[in-house]
Amino acid sequence: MMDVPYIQPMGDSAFVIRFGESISPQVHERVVGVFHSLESCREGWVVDLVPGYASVMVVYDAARAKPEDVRSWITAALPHMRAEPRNYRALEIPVWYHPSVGPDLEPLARDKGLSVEALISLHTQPEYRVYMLGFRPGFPFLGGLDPRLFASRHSTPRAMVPAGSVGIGGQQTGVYPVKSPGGWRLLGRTPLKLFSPEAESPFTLGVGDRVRFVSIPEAQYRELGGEVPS
Amino acid sequence: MSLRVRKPGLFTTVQDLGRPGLGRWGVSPCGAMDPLALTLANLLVGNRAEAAGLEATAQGPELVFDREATFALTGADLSATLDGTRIAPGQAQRAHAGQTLKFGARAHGARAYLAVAGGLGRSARVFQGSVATDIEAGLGGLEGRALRAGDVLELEPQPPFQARAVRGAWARWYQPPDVVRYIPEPASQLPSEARAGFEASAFRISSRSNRVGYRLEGLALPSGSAGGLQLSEPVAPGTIQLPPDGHPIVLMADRQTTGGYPRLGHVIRADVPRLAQRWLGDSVTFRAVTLEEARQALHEQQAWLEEAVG
Repeated sequence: MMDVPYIQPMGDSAFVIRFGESISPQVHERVVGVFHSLESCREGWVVDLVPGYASVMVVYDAARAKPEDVRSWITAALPHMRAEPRNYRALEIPVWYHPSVGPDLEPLARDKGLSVEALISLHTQPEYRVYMLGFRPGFPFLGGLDPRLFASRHSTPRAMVPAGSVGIGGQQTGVYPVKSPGGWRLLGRTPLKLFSPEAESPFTLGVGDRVRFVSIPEAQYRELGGEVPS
Repeated sequence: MSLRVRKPGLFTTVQDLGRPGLGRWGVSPCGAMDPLALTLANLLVGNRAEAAGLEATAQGPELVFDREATFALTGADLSATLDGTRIAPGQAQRAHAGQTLKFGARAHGARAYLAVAGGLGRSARVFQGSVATDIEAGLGGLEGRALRAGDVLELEPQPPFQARAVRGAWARWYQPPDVVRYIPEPASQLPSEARAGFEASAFRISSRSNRVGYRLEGLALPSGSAGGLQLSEPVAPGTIQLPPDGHPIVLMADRQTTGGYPRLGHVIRADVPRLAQRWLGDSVTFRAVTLEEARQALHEQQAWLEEAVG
């Protein structure tokens, strides 16, 4: 891990601040800290601030700010890096783990030499960290997956993955907030909406939040408004 | 007061200047692929630069005005006619009640922009302050999709017609059409031959390109061992990725907010309009410039834009 973050221009409209090349809670705490520090002294020419696993991107309006000014602004904010806020959200996500909504549940358990129950238990055990949102609005990339569940993506993505699908992609797990194509291994589905475009706060999860999956039976999944394929 | 869609054209969407600033939530910026052209069209009809217009792709729609309205066309020349009379792009036009705006053959460019006085966002969904259509996520626009026959776009009350035209040659920002400037990635994990090959190649824009990204066809570039194993990190406007197959992808308006492929560099902001006007099958080459040159180019363009319409 680099101790001094590395600041580099990305074209004429953005900078990236890198904290290393690894996925770890320690690195990500620095990411979230710098993200909040920059946010708290935001300038008018800042177009976007985007946290990643080990980096923060600053997009700026190149018509209004010079690259050297952006760099100085970033450099000035770094020493004031805030500790990761303690008021992150800890959310339980109810999941109906079942082959009818999680077509990869049984094949993955077989591949891993696990019973379906053991797989569910490994998936519901950890408290996951939201490392970043990407791919689709509100799609959380969750880190902290048990290495016994690491699984490569499908080589050909499914054309349509229903909203609420919970899956595994490589070393990460996540939830599809909207229907989309997707290559992750699907284990089940949540009735919880992670993205509600009409709501005043459309996003259920933010970067730095913590997530736990809770296994629920079909009846409860239906009660909570979950859709069951016909 | 409305604009009726008789035929939707190949792919016509409601667009404004997009919704940048939501990267942390995984929301794509979207908005006009050629923001310069949409801005000009809006200024011609007396709108704010960020008002909503229509982006027509290669083959334009057929639209009927049910009342008198002021409109303007910019961007690609798709041989537009109003009740059969050729309409020149780059100036304010008056449509009378019942007149039909049609598009014909693609003369040059890829995307034409239609602005109407007061904007075209009234019937569109607003998401986070923008009506830009996000096809991938189904946000903004008309139900988050492209126009269909039978759609109706409500118009705002029309101010009296005012003649306005683009002063001077706006074509200069699209010349030479097949050379796009970019800033190479300073600490790329890619082998140095990748960059050399990238700058020496004439690429063709693949038919699998869209508003998310332009795929470039040509000789495969060496992607080295970094391919695909890099940590996903946020992508910037104009990011040029090199996937393991060696065929670069330039990320455009509807790009995802993060990407894991190694990067060759970034298209400069002043040349995004030029690239957006290249169509499937067109050739394109990339020329490296410095950050300072990119800044100069953008400043010239912005200064020109301030005086462009009158």
